[in-house]
Amino acid sequence: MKRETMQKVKPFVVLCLVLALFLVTFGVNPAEAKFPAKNMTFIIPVSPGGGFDTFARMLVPYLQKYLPGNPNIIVSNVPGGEWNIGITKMYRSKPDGNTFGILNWPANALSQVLGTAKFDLTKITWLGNISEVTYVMCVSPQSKYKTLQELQKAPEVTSGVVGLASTAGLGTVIAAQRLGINMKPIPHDGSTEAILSAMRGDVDWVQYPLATLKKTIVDSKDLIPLWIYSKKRSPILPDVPTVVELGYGDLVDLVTMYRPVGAPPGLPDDVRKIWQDAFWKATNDPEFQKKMIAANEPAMPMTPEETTRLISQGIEMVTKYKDLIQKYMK
Amino acid sequence: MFESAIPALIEMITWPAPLYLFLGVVLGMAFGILPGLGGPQVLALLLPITYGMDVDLAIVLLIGAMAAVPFGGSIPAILINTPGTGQSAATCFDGFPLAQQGKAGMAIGASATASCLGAIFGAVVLTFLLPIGRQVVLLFSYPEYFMLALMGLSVIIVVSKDSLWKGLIAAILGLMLSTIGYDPVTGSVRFTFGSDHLWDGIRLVPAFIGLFAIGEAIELFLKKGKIAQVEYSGKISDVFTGIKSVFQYFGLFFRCSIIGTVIGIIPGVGGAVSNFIAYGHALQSSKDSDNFGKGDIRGVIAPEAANNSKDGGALVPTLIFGIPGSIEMAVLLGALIVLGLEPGPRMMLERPETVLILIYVLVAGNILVSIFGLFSAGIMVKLTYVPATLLAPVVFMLALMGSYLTHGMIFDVVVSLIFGILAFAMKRFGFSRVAVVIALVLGRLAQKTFHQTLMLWGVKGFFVRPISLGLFIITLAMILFPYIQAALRKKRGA
Repeated sequence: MKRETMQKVKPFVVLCLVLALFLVTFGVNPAEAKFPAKNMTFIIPVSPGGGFDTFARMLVPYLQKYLPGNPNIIVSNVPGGEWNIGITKMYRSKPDGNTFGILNWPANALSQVLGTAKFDLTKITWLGNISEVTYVMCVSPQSKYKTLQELQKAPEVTSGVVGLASTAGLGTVIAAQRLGINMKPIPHDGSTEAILSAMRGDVDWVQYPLATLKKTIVDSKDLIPLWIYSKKRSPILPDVPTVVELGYGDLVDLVTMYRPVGAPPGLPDDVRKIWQDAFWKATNDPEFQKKMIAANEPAMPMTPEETTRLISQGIEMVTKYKDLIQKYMK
Repeated sequence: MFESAIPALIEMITWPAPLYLFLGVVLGMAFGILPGLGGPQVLALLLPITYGMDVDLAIVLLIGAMAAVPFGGSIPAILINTPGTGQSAATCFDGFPLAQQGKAGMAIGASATASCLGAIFGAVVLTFLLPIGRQVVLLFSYPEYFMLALMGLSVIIVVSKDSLWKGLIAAILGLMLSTIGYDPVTGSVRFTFGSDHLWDGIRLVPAFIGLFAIGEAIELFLKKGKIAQVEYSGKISDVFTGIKSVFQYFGLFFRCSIIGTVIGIIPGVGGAVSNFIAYGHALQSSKDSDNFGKGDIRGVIAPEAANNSKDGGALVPTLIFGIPGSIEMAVLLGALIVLGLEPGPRMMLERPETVLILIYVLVAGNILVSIFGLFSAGIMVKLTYVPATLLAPVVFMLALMGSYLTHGMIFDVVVSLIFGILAFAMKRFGFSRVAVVIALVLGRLAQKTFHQTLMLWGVKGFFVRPISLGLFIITLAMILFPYIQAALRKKRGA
């Protein structure tokens, strides 16, 4: 009799223990108000791999170096919902300076402009910017259209894009409209697949960061670069005209990607000052800059004021194209 | 490139490279075993450690870890029906029934051997394909991707031979679930019920964990007893039977390695698909397929060969174009760039030694992890003899932890629990969980590539390209073959 009850009780006890353990592990929320805490969280709203993750992780040791007390910075990938889950998580975290995150600009303006965001980007405490990414427009060697004029006259040009909520996708749609090209976006899961599609000749047009496309256009010449979205010609592609030379200078700001870093709104002034100071020093660290150059993407530090301006201007720019974007998203 | 073969080999066996290999493999195996953690996570973890390290040593560490993940993931798939990574999901189908029959040792033996040889196969193909790889990669476009997805979906018919209707109902459920989230064509979100978390659709790992591990844990709670339904014999000769079985079915192993390598080469199809297609191939090509799903060793060999040979394949686009073929490869590519390498056409010419070291390490890592696996099989098997009331809570814990760990989100835990209940109900009423998994994995790929093809070429796009047409015919033949066979048998009988 007793043994029977024991056996009946046992699984129940085990279950209770498991539940208790859950409560303990999930319930504990270190409410550390001090800054900098021993452990800080760096939210990256995308999966590991790719530029944002790579460069954010690259910056971590330098942030540790310049923040007082050399805190541990724990990188936390919070992917999903086209960056929205990660940004919301950062936005809603405690404004004690111990949680901060990286954003994809101007792509992340989209959800705010379309009214689906649960955050206000202008309220984020901006710490600075890591780098700036120049885009290059390429056509497939198999494409019938190889100049801007031909593209403008073409009945339909296909373009390999990765969703509209990416800087590349948004930029392609806006650039096509501005340049007067009748473009049909063909969606892909990643830039990889879109670039391969252009190499096979399945789509005519792709535009991605110069660093990503360098090996495809410079080293193996699998794609033909037509123009770059930058004010100056690139030393890597001295013969490729800039979009400014073609007379569409306003596209530079729309099709350049930035990697700004921010903390939740309402950071106390003293914390904000320490943070912005450390961030500036970290992004200007010669060793960090050397690493960025080696990775084909020179660092582009921006002061917090410059970053804040970049954000408000970006939102304004994207708002102008709201109707166009909605048309494509249906 | 081949003139660097010997110097690269010497570099790889020079101290401290073997130490790094060992560390990488141990870590990779551990990440593989823990459900929810896998290749991308272990590489991301190692990434900061490699900054400032010697390039070749860093590669030894990273690739060693990457190589060990697939086999690591198969161990819990066999022992407790919980795939450690998405790539090992198909190993559950027959691996776990074997464990229930007390033959976990045999399954681990076969898995280790098929994994190891599969990886070697993939690496050999990679080595010889590098000079001509670019043509191969560029041969595959959307219609071919679609046909591959279709081929995978056709496997559902075979796995649901008990009741075709129930199989189809399960498959439709899976396909419906796969439409949740972003519409791959318009970019608008569907069926998310206002939750941000569903924007990317149902994540595969939490779904797998729910369907297999949690479903199983509930079952264990109710049934009590042990996983293995026989007495513990203590003999480890089973492991050798497993090793031998790979050679016994060497043709199957070989074909599945080819399947894995080819699917690995195609960027964007991914490792999660290769094991299903290989499993389906094993089923369809076997004359006596009645035992599949109930513990047929061939059902272990096929996916294991494919999911390890695919890594060699996935390195082809990564090395040739500098374009990652999978998420692991994307992280690896990031790591290589930080180390100052530029994978792509130039690296092949400028640093052939590094490329070869990479390939050698892939092979060495796989051999090492298989050896670990074979030696520890005897101990691991004992897990299936632990009383269910003790094991089930642990499985439950590990499963929920695993679904949380993949992305650090409680929402995924909820997904796992819902799928767990679903799995339990499905098992009770004889619906195939495998069909749901296959449809869930392939539904999105099929849908996306179907629309891409239509947008660019219209319906004829599927049938005017030789590889696409060929794959379509093979799929048709695979579906119809059993019926033709049955008809012939009937005729002969009459």
